[in-house]
Amino acid sequence: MPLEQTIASVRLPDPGLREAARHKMDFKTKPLGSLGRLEDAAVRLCQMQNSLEPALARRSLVVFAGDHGVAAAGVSAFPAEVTPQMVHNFLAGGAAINVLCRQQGISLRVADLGVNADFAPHPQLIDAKVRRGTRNFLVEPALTREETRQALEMGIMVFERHIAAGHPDIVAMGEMGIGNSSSAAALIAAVCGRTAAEVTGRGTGLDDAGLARKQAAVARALDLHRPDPANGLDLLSKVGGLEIAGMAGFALAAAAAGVPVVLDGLISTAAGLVAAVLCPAVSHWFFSGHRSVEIGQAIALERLGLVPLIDLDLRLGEGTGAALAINILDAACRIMVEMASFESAGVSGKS
Amino acid sequence: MRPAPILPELSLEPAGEPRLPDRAALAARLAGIRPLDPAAMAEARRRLDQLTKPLGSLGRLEEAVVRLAGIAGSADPDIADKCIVIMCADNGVVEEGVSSCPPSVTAAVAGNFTRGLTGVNVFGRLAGSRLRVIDIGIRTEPPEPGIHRQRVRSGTANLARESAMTESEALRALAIGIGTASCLKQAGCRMMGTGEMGIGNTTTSAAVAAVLCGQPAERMVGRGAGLSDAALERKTGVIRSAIELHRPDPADPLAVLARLGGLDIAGLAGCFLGAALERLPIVIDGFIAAAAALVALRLAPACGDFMFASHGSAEPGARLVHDALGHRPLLDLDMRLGEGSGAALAFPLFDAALAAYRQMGSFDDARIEAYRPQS
Repeated sequence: MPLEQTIASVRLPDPGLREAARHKMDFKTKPLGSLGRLEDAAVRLCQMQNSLEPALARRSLVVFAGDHGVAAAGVSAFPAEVTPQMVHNFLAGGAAINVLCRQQGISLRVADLGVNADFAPHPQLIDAKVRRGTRNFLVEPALTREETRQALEMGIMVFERHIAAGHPDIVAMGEMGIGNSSSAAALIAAVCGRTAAEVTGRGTGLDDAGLARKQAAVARALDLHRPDPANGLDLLSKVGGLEIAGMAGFALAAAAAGVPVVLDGLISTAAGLVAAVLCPAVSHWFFSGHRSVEIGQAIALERLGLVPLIDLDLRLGEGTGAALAINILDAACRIMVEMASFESAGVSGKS
Repeated sequence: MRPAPILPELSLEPAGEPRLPDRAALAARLAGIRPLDPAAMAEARRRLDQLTKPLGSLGRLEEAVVRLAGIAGSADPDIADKCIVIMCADNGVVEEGVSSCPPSVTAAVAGNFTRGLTGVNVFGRLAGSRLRVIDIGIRTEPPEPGIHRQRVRSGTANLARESAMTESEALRALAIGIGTASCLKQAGCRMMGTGEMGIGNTTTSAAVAAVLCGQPAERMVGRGAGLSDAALERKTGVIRSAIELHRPDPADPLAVLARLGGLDIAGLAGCFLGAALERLPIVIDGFIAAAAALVALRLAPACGDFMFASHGSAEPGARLVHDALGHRPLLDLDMRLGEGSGAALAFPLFDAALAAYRQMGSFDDARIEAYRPQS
């Protein structure tokens, strides 16, 4: 579907089911509210799946990959060649996300939105390349408007053509792209009205000098382009990334199809934030998988109204935090389905 | 009534317990706890650093892997077989109106563990964990099969008036926990979780934790299963005056446990000690299990290295107790169910950590020469 049609198709999860789901949860044999945020998650999943017996049997995770022109400015602890190398590693099955997806029964695909390399066809690889890397946004806009739209629609295509056929109960997004935490920081600063220093972190491991260089780069990009915080296409084209735009499109398409979306760390949360600029209703379909050590993520999550499910000091990306969180969401569903109610268990309630 | 079927997840190895007639016997036993194996930990650290990821980027999962190696004494730790021990007991202090539930709920919920209907059953099944439900001091008779009856006494005395139990009863409860760990180890268990059921046990655990942490009662007391403001006030007052009445020496954890604790807490403290003796990793559930862990830590400081904190309970004292334990919880979901539910929910994270450790490619395999920090 074209972008506008996808945006128009995103509905709010069924508000009518909220009360019934809450009621069912409150009559489980446990003190009221004692499962904390799992209860909210279970109620939300009931609404999203339009069922009082939610299930997460079919799970799908897509790693979106793309290169960044800004990587040339020394904003990352790693050289840009690592992006294609890690794509090869995903396809060979040796990366952390491969292991976690296998372990949690999640089907894994890799979508190439704009890696600066060519790949041989592979059953797990989705070719969604718009161009080989973005331009350096310290000099010029990262993408043209047309390229930005293409990347968003490639993300929509990834969901519709490659993921939707598996009838997923939930999807998650991860990413790989050297330099992409600078792009994510710039997007979050622009949307949330924050300074570069407030949103920029150490990425995969910058030292103090590297961090100062990265903060200066983000500040310069914002100053140079002054992206419109209310215009998703403007934001993405000026300081975005191809994989970030792809994730935003993917999230919109999943929400339009009524499928919950688990965000991972800083980058996918920035993509979710831009998707919410394009379509505010989309955030009702999001869960935040994990708390990133990157400071910008918390600012984006606050705007999206989300609290991460886990906090393990992960800073790997790839979707690892989202993959781990799916198991927590699965536990929430099973409470709704498998746990006894006061009536069925013959336990007296609160006296 | 037809007896309920025994669930496959229920662990029914025979019970046994060491004889601990006095403090000297306990001290002698605890002297057997050996520290973590530094060579195994160094080897695990070395292997983690070769995997295709930025150094340390799996965060606290990496710390868990290293400690699991140190506990097992091997860079290939095995935690496949897991069991959650649920200590169930009644507390005399409920006479003071400190709980929103009647005491009959203890026996009823203990029975529900054996029917597979509770929160810990649901999460335990998801994690592939066994459960071992122990009646260490329920007041009434839970009729269900599948509960290990190792009752020290039928509920404790009311700690607002007298010592909750005698020292020899506390020692017996510790011995039951220690015996449980060794019997599980023999049955193949490689990771333990802790859970409890006992109406009134947020009061006993808050009292024990307040003394051991040197904190006033009001900083340790929460609403438990759902108290009103007035009831919270009453609960705090009961704990404050009980501490005043017994004045236990904070440096004497056994006395604190006997006067202010509960049999469930004592049994779990024994599990923590036993896990360290058997070199099993043991996962702390919520506030009550954390209070028991603190008793164990004060009895034998070396046992702390064998513990993992699963979740930051919504009970306000939990953070203070975790700080005293020196463990940061893996999950923080505002849960306050108890039962071992948090421990069960955290189990898959350890499996995930070990899966990444064992199955990820190394830089050599992946021919990634450049995934090293640039200078």
